[in-house]
Amino acid sequence: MIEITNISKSYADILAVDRVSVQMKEDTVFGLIGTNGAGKSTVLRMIAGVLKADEGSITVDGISVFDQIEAKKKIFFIADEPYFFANANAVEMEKYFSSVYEDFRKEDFYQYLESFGLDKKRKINTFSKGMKKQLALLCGICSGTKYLLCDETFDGLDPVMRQGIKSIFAKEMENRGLTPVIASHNLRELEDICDHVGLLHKGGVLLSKDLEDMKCNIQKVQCVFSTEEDREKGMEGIDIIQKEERGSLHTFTVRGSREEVIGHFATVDTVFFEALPLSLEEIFISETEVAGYDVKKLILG
Amino acid sequence: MMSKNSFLVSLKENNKRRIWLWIVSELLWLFYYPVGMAMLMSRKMEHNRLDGLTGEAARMRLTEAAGGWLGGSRIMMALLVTVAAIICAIQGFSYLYSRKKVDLYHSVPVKKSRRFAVIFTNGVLVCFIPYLVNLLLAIVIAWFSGGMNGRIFSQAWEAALLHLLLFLGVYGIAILAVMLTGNLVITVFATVIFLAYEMAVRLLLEGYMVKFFSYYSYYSSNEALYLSPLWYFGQAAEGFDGGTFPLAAILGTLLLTAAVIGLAYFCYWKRPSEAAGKAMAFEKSKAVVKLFLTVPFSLGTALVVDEIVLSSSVLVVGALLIAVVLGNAVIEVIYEADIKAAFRKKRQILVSGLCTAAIASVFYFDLIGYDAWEPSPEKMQDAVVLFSRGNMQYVDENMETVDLEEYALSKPGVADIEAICELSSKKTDSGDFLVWMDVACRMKNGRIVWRNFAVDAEEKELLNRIIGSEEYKKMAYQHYDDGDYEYISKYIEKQKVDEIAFNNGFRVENLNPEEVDTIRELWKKDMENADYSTLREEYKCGVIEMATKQERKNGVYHIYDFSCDVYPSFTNLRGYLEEKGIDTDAYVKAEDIESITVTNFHTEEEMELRKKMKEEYGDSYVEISMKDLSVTKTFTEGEKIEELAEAMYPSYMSRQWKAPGEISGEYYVTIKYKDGRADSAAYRGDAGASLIADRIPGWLEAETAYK
Repeated sequence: MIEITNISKSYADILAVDRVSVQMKEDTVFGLIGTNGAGKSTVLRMIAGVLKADEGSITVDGISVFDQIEAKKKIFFIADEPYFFANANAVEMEKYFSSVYEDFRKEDFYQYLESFGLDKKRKINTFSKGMKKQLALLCGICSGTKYLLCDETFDGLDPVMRQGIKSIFAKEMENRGLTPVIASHNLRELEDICDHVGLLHKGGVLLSKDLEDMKCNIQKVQCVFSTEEDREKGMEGIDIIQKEERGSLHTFTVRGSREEVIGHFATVDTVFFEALPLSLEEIFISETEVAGYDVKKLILG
Repeated sequence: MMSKNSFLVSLKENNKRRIWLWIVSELLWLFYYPVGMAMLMSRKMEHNRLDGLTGEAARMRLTEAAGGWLGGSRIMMALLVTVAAIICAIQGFSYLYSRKKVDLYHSVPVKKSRRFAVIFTNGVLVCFIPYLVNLLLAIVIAWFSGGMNGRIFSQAWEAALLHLLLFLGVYGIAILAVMLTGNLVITVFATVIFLAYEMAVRLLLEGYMVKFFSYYSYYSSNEALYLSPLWYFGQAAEGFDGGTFPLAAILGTLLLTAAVIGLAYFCYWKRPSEAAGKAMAFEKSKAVVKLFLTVPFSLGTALVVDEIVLSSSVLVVGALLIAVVLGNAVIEVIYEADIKAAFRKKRQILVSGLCTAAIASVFYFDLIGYDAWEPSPEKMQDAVVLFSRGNMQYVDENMETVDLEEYALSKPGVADIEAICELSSKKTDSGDFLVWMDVACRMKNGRIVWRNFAVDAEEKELLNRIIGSEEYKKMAYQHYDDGDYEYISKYIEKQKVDEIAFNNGFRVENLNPEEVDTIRELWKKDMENADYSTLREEYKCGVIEMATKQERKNGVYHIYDFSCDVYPSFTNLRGYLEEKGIDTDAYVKAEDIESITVTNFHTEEEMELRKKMKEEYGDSYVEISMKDLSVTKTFTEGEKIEELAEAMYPSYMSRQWKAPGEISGEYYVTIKYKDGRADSAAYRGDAGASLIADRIPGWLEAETAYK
C-alpha cells in the first residue's frame, strides 16, 4: 500500500501540494483526478521519489520512499512526458530498464510490443505521442514493479489501446498484484479503469473514495408526485444532494442505498417513479457540490 | 558473468549515452598526438634533409621537437585538457537540467552514490583512455622517426600525470558548477567564475591597495592561487621542467580536487530535482552568490572608472552605485528569466550596496590604518630591506632560482631595529632625490608586514647603518654570505666557470676562472667596509661578471651568474686587477683616444619647441615631424679629450644610487681609438657613455650649442 500522510510541497513561493493524505491500496486501480496545476504530477513525482516532500511522509509498503532503493524497486514512474534516450529504440530502452529493474520481463515486453504493433527496431523519436505512451506503459508493466505510476498516460490513447492496456492491467493485477496509479485531468478518461478515485484541487484532496462505495451511496431518481403533500412528504426524511424540477417532473440525487431510497419513495404516492443509473461524472458533481465546488469547471472542462 | 547491478554494467549503460563524447575525445587526442606527432616528425626530418643534418645532430633536432610536443608545459595542452574537463563534467551531469530526464533517472532504483560514481568515473575514462592510447601511438611514431629517448619518454608520462591532475581539478570544479546551477549557460559562467574568482578578487584588492595605500608594497601580494587547478598545474610543470618532482603542487592539486569533488557530491546529494532548468539549484545560495559577484563587480567598475576619469569622486561614486544596481538587476533577471524581476529584490540591492560601500570605505578612509602603521621596536624582531627589485639571481641549496621575496625572507633581517623604525618615521614622498625601499618588518609574533616608502637620500647616517650592516649585505649579495657561498662555490667547481671577466662598459678583460674564489674573497673583504656612502658617492670602476652554464634538458640550459661591483675604495680587488694588468683608475686612458664624439640632445630646447608647437597647432602637433635639435661634434684635441674622458660614465653602469641629473642625460659620448680597435664591451650592449654632470667641461655647451 502507498500511504501518503499529510504531505506538502512548495516550489519557491507557490504551494503545489497542501497537506495531502491518501491511501492507495493494493490490487486496485487508483485514479488521481484534478485540473492542471492541481498537484497531481507533484504527488506522483513525490511517490516516485523524484521530489522530496517538504512535510509529511510517503511510504510504499511501509518503506519511506525518498532516496530508498528498496522502495523504488517497487515503483515504476511514467512521467507526463516520458523520456527516452536520444536515438534509442525499444530494444535499447529494454536493455536500460533491464539493468535497473531486476525483475524486468524481456519476453513479455517483446510480446506486448508485437501485439501493440510497435516496431522494436524503430527509433522512438519517430513514434507518435500515443505510441510513446504505449511504449512507456509497456516498459512500466514489464518492469516487474508492484506499483505503476502513470501521469496523464491514458489521456489521448485511442479506445482500442485503452482497452488493450486495461486488459493487461487486469491480467497483471490478477497474476502479480500490480497496482496502477493513474493521474488525469479528465474524469471521463478514468471512468472505465479506476476502482478508487482521489480528487485533487488546488494542492489539496477534495475526496478519495472507492467508486463502488460512491455508487452505492448515491442514487438518482425521477418522479411525478400526485399531490403537493406527497411532494413535501417525499422530500422529507432523505438526504437530497441535488434536485431539479421540470414542470411536475422532479429529479433528485439522494444520498443513501438503493433499497433505502426506493423504500422511502414507496411510502409516497407518485404518478411516476424511476431509479436512474449514475455516471462517474454525476457522482463527482454531487459529491463536490456538497463541498461548495463546481466540479464541472474543475475536471470536465 | 557480470551481475545485473554491477558497477561495470552501470558504466556500460552510462557510456551508451556518451558515445559522441568518446568520438570527440578520440578525435581530439588523435589529431593532437599521433597525427600531430607524425606531421612534426615529418617536418623535422625534411628540415634535416634540407640542412644536410645527419647522425646525432639530426636525432637531437627530432628529440627536441618530440620533447616539446609531448612535454607538460604546453599552454595549448592545458587549454585542451581544461576544455575537455568542462565538457565531460557538463555532459555527464547535464541530465540534471532536464525535468524529463530527472523524472526518469531519479525514479529508477539506482543509488545516488552509484549514479554519481558512474558518471564521474566515465567522465575521466572518456577523456583519458583516448588520451593514453593516442599518447602511446605518438610515442611509437616518435620512436620510429628517431625522435624518442628515455628522457622524452619519461617527460611524456610526467605530462600525462600533470594533465590528469589538471583534468581532475577542473572536472571537479565544473561538476560543482553543474550541481549549483540548473542550465548550461549558467553552468559555463559558474565554471569560469570558479576558475577565475580568486585571481580576480586578489587583483581587485591589490588594485585598491595600490590606489589608496601610499605605502603598499608589491611584495606583500601573494601570487599563489590556492583554489585554481591551473595555478597548481603551472607550478607542477615548472617543477618538472626544473628537473624536480613537484610534490607540493601535486599534493595541492589533489587536496583541492578532493575538496571540490566532496563538495560537489554533497551538493548532488542535496540538490532538489525541481532545480532542473532553473538558473540556480539552491534557493538559499542565490542571495549569497549574488552578493559575492556584485560586490567585486561594483568595486572593479569603480576602479576602472577612476582610472578613466582620473579621480573624479562624483563620477566614481556614481559608477559604483550604478554597478551595484545593474549588477543586482542583471543577476536577478538571469535567476528569474524575467526582465520585470530586475529590481524586485530591493533589500539585496541595499545589502550589496552597503557591503560595497563598506569595503570601499576601508580603503578610501584607510580604516585599517595601513598607511598610519609604524613599526614598533618592542614588537619587531628584524627587518628585511630591499632597495631595488634587482636583477641579481638568487638560488637555493639545489641551485634553483628563487624569487627575491622568498629568498629575502629566508635570510636574517637587519637587526638594527631602531634605524629601521627611524627611517620609517622619516618616510616622505617629496624631495629632489628619494631612496625607495621595500621593508618587510618581521614581528616577534611571526607576522610579516611589508611597506614600500622613500626617504630623503640625505639620510646618510641611517642608510649607512642599514646598507653597511652584515645582515643586509648577506641578503642583498648572496655570494657575500659564506654559508650560501659554500654551496655556490661547490656548484661552480662542478659545473666549471663559463666566463669570468671585468667589464667597465668600454673594455671587457677576461680573468682566470680558477681564481673565482680568490676574487670573491677580495671583493668580500672590500665589501665589509662598504655602505650607503660608498654606493651613493663613488662611481663604479667596473663590474666583475661570472657565469656558469649547465645543460639540463635538450637545449635547456641552467645559467648561474653573479657579479661583483668594483668601487674606487675597493683596494683589495683593484690591487688584484692591477696585478693582472687591468687598469681601474680610469674607464679609458685619454692617450689611447683619437677622438671623442659628443651628441648634445638639447632636451630643454626640444621641450620648449614642443610647447610652442602645441600652442600653435593644438594636440595635433604630435603628427608633425619635429626638427632634430641634437648637435653632434667630434673632438680630437688632447686637452678636450682628457677633460671629456674624465667626465665619462659608461652607459653600461647602473644609475642606481645616483641622483636625478647627477649623470647627465643631455650628452651621449662615443670613442674612437688611435689603434683603430673597437670597444670589447660593444658585444655586450651599449659601449657609449654619458657625462657626470659636475665634471662636464665648461666649453662643451658652447661647442655643441644649437644654432
